[in-house]
Amino acid sequence: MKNPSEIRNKHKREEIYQKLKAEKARKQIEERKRRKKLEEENPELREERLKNNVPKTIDNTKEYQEAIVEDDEEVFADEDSDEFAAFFTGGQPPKICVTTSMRPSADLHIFAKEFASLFPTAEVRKRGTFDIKDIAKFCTNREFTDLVIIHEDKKQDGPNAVIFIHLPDGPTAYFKLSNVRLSKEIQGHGRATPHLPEVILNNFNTRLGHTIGRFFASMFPPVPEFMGRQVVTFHNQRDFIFVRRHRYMFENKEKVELQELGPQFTLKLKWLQRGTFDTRFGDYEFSFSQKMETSRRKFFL
Amino acid sequence: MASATIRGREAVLVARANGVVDVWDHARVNSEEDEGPGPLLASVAAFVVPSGASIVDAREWVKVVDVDALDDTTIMAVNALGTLAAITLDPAPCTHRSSTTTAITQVAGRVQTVELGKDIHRVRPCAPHHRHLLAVGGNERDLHLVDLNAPKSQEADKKEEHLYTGLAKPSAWTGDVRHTVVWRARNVPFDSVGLRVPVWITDVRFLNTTGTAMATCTAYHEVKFYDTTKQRRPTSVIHVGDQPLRSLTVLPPTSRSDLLVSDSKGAVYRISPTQALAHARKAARAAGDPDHPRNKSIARRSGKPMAARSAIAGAYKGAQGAVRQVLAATMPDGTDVVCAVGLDRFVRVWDAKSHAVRARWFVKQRLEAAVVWRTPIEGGDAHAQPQVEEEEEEEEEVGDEVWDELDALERRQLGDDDHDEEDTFEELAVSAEPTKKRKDRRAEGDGDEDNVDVQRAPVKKKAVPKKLKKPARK
Repeated sequence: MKNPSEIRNKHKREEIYQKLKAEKARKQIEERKRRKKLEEENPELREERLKNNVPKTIDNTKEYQEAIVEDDEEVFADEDSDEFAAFFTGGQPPKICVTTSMRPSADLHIFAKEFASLFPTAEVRKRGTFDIKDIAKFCTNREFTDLVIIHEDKKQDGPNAVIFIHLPDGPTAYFKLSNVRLSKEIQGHGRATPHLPEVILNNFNTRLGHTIGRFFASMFPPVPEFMGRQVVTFHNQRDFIFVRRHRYMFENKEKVELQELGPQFTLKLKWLQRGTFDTRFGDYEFSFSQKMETSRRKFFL
Repeated sequence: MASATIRGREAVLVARANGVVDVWDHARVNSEEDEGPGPLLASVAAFVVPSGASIVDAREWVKVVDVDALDDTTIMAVNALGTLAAITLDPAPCTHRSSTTTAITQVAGRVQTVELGKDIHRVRPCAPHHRHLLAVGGNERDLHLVDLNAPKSQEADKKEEHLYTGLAKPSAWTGDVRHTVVWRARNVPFDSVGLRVPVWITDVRFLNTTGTAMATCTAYHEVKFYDTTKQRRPTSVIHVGDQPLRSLTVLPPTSRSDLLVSDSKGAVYRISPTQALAHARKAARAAGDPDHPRNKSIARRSGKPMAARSAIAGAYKGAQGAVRQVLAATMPDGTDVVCAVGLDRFVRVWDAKSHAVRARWFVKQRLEAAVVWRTPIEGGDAHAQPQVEEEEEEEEEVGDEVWDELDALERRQLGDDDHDEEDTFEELAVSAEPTKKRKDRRAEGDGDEDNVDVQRAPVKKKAVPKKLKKPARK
């Protein structure tokens, strides 16, 4: 059979090619029917077929990262004495101050309030014209443990960055913010209650990921109220952190339903700096730049 | 951290955030014997908080900024408040093998202190002959040379142009600590809008052995060269990147004695004053001649300023976090390597010439300091090599292994002596073949962990310890 691309007549070429495609599709359907019949009799065949045909995705062909933490005594000991030790080993309850960039639009302020509702012990304050460094100092004096600043560039674009500063001299993390949706924009959303949520941190595998995961975990009260059935999820996939809040409900032992509450957004870590906010003279533990992107399969969190 | 010779034994000085300075005998660290003296030669509480100090002050009091050896039995430590303490170590027997870091806190022999003033970030003695001559610099503390031996009459007057011509003959510290400033630098002239240029020195190095040539790197991304015999102002200022520079070191003469600087976002640059001179000479020859090929570029013809990058001779890429210490060493096969440690928890080694990555280890803790070690650890006869210190051969280091001090920055609790988990010494035998990277880890007080047998590089005759240091911080 001549390769249809060698046929000069366009109409004829189309016709032949469509015929070839239809034939291929028919063969595929027949093959599937045959396989289904065989596998109904012998389910092991199906298992074997699935086992041998795992599709390659970026997630399961990730480049080996030396920084990935597995069960490691040294890392745990290191973590026990890092900046979040006061929360994890000392049991210090979190107290968060949420504020915005200067001259916020009304929408930004609304989002700030919703963002603060995610964290049970957070409060929103107006920014005024204070410098971030000064605000960090004031918050430390008032015994806050974290300062969060939600930043927008242009009013019509909405918030595009969020800075988490752990106090008194904890690290500063700057995230790019995207895909922000308020609760009223979510179909079928529920209304959050004041119950303390459970926290789920997914896929924070590397040492840097551990630090960020601990950062998020230290912003929630350690003991959740299970009666509230609320859960806040920080799901890391390919260095994007998806933040969602749900209420779960067990229909029966096997089946659980989820209803989404509250805001949803996506974060991507831009840089992590040691010490409180000091972009001029501080030391960076991680600072993303295009030069780091050497491969599509390399991730840092 | 610093590497020094204490009482005839090659040692590493480690300063911690709680004011304690440890002296570790390198040769003994990895020996397998259970009996006999342990590797910790001494552990001294260099700074003790006076009673009644507030918490913030207390932290500043014990925060050691710099540590080094003044002579065979004395170490000096400088704290964040600017007090330099010269501590003479007891000739006491060394500790038992099983003791942990601060089991013995002795304030031995004599302790003399001198106030250098606040905001000091670096105090570096002029090694190896003139350890009493210290280069001091910090935030708004411009570079000055302090001679611990000199009497007051030799103090440089602030107003006079005082030219310090260096110390010709090797001299040792006399034993008395005197704060005599023999040379002070002057700031560069006001900038183009008439404003004073701020000064924030983060690292200082002596470029020759007589103490007349120095280089500093600043938090305003400048590298400044000083020549005390010529003038008080810097002889040249090179702007490098746009991040504060953290550490500075000098490559061996086989690499043209270029400088290495590292900044707070992970860049490691190589600065070559000789290259800058060569470029300047070429430009001078071509100046005024419109037909010279050098002057034919559009930028030149339109009068735009040419990029002043002639001094930057390349960079060593890969570090992702602030590089707190950059080092240079010479491998046994003669090639020079550049090593950087920093907050991204990696130790990286590059080939100095080709800029290729030789080795890279993930060491799980944020790193503050590293020291290049001369002799490999073998039995106990490493220290038997005579310390030949001749001026010409000073720079011919034969670095075989790199020692890292993994400093737990988080150890802020005062008087917290329980460092068992955090202090891990790692010896990295950087062998000639880049494929062989094996680690030998020794946890504190626990010698049974995976002690992989490391292939040692062959011993070389000359063992001149070079001083590279950086103590604990925050």
